[in-house]
Amino acid sequence: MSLYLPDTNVLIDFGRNAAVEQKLDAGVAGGSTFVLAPSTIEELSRGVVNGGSRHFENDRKVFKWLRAHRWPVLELPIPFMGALLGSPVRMGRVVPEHYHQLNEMIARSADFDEFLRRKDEPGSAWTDIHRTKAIHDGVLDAEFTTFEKIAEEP
Amino acid sequence: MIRRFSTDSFRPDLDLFRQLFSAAIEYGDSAIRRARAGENLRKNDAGVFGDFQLFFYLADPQIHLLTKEDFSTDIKNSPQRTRIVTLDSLR
Repeated sequence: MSLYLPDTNVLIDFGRNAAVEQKLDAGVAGGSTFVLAPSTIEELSRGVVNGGSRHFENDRKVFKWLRAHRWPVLELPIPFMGALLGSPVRMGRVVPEHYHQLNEMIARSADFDEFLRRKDEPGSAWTDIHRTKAIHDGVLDAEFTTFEKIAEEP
Repeated sequence: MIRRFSTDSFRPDLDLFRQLFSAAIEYGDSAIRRARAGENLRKNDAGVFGDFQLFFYLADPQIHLLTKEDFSTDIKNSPQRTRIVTLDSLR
């Protein structure tokens, strides 16, 4: 029995390649369990938004699988690391439950329009999800700028 | 990065940090070397930050990172590299 953290490239194939679904299901049947990283759910969600109504039914298959098993979602990297280091630092207000909420929102929506309606329901933490690519690109720009500065250091 | 976890009354243990996050540190070092060698990571490997983030979770000794990618040229020394596995390893 092992605990697996699948990356996006594995899960993105879920709806495209039946062999991936079979392997994951075989792993579950054999006693393997899974955890999910917030960044993986976000990345899959960007695919849902980018795919729109045309690909929604296929794109949501993996979310239905995740919902059926309700695998735990890990903390974001900084609080995850901080807990192991014994640091009292906690950045931001995002918690794993928010990612379960996002997963539910996609898995339970019958179509893309319903998904867009659900994102604006009271209590939703994902009202900006339709802007996910722009938000992500902004984060990446900031990260790469920081990274380039580090790379330029002697 | 370790400074993010410091407060006025708390300083993280550097050795513990290196031990817990060895795969992520090695991967980050590799990415920095690639950038210094002139590679445009933003253009050619925009997923580098997503991958970098995932490696921190290997600090949990039970977790195996399930991936289709081959990171063996970036992570050669970290003991955590044995827990970076492909779908075929699923039991």
